[in-house]
Amino acid sequence: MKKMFGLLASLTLISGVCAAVLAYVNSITAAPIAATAEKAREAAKAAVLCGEEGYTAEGRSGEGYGGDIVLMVGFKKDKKTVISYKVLQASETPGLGMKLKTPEFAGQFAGKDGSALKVKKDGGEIEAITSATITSRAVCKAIADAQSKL
Amino acid sequence: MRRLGILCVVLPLAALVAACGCSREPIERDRVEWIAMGTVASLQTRGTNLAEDVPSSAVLARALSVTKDVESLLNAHSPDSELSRLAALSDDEVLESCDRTASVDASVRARPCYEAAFALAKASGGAFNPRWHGTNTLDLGAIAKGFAVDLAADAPPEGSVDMLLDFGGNLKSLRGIWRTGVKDPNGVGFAAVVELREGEALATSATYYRGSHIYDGRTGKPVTNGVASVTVLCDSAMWADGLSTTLFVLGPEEGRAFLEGAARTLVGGRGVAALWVLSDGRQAKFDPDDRFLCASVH
Repeated sequence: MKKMFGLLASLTLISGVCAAVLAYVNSITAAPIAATAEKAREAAKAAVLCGEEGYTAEGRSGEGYGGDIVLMVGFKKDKKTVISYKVLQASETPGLGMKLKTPEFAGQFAGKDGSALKVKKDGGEIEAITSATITSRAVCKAIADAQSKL
Repeated sequence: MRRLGILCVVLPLAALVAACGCSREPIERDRVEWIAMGTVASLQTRGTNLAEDVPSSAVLARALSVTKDVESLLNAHSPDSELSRLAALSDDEVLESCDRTASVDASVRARPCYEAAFALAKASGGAFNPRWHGTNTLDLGAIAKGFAVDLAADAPPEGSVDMLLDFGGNLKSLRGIWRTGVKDPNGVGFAAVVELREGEALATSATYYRGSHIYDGRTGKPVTNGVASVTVLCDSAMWADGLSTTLFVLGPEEGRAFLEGAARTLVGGRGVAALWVLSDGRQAKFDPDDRFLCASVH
């Protein structure tokens, strides 16, 4: 009986300590995480313009294959020509830092339409996916969506 | 008893402290994407101090120029590409004439890709057929992306950062082991998981993104044999790419016989594994070393 109380006491203590630690960690990280997301969004706005004057807009593309991707797209002053884009959110890749560089990008997307979007990740373990080739149209679709918001 | 109680408290705390300590030098991940060859190409990196890694920058620079050069040589949709200009010639003439007028970087020559395509067509009895659209046509779309991956992955500089190239679903590990998933053609999750080792490549042929675009080179008609996707593992991205299309056309039965027979000499004794996923969800494999794991992971 005494043994059982001892075990019970230590287990309770462990749970209590862990809960306290987690709660504390969460309390100090929640605000910074939100701030980081906002900061990333602001940073993306600046980055996708590549120092040029122009406009930024968010675009979404999701066809049910792997969820939505959200791009921050930088456009030239003509509101048509893409300077660059950056992934803000890809639901298949939670927490994975993605950076997009798009050399010689301008004009590639004008007037193009898209269909589906590739699945990149499902959960935290798979790092890359082999699949049928998706056309760059899918990316174009998110870009067209961004453009429609200008 | 008391000792046990203390252990119960100390051990989890020690684990917690250790976990925090380990995150001091975190594994960073980065991914650079670009549009090339009608699809999205990417270089993924994984390691510590990615920002200062010169080798991966060099690989990226090479990959960017390779995709551009291969596209300018082998784009079947452009009348100005080398491929289009040589299309009317015979196979032998193509091999003789190619590379002479190439206006791209000296390290990018398409001859190995033409050779592989013609050899694969012959060995597969025409199931794979770069001239499926007619005698005077050439289309290397089923093998060119893999060829470009191999070129870009050739001799990466020494370094510690792990690298993975992905040209539209054609993967190759340049360094490190990468946990990769085979997209389930009939659903959202994965049909299998492969630990992709250094120097290995994976390619998939399927119709779920672009509809019925894979043609049986022997009949010129779209393939309707119940195959939903084929994934090939090989140490050459070019062969993985070309073989995935071929095995899609052949189906599991003929495909296995092909891999045990004619394909062996073709890929130079390299280990090849293949996974067919049928449209009813069943799977078939040619997998001597059990590399395709965890079927139907969701």
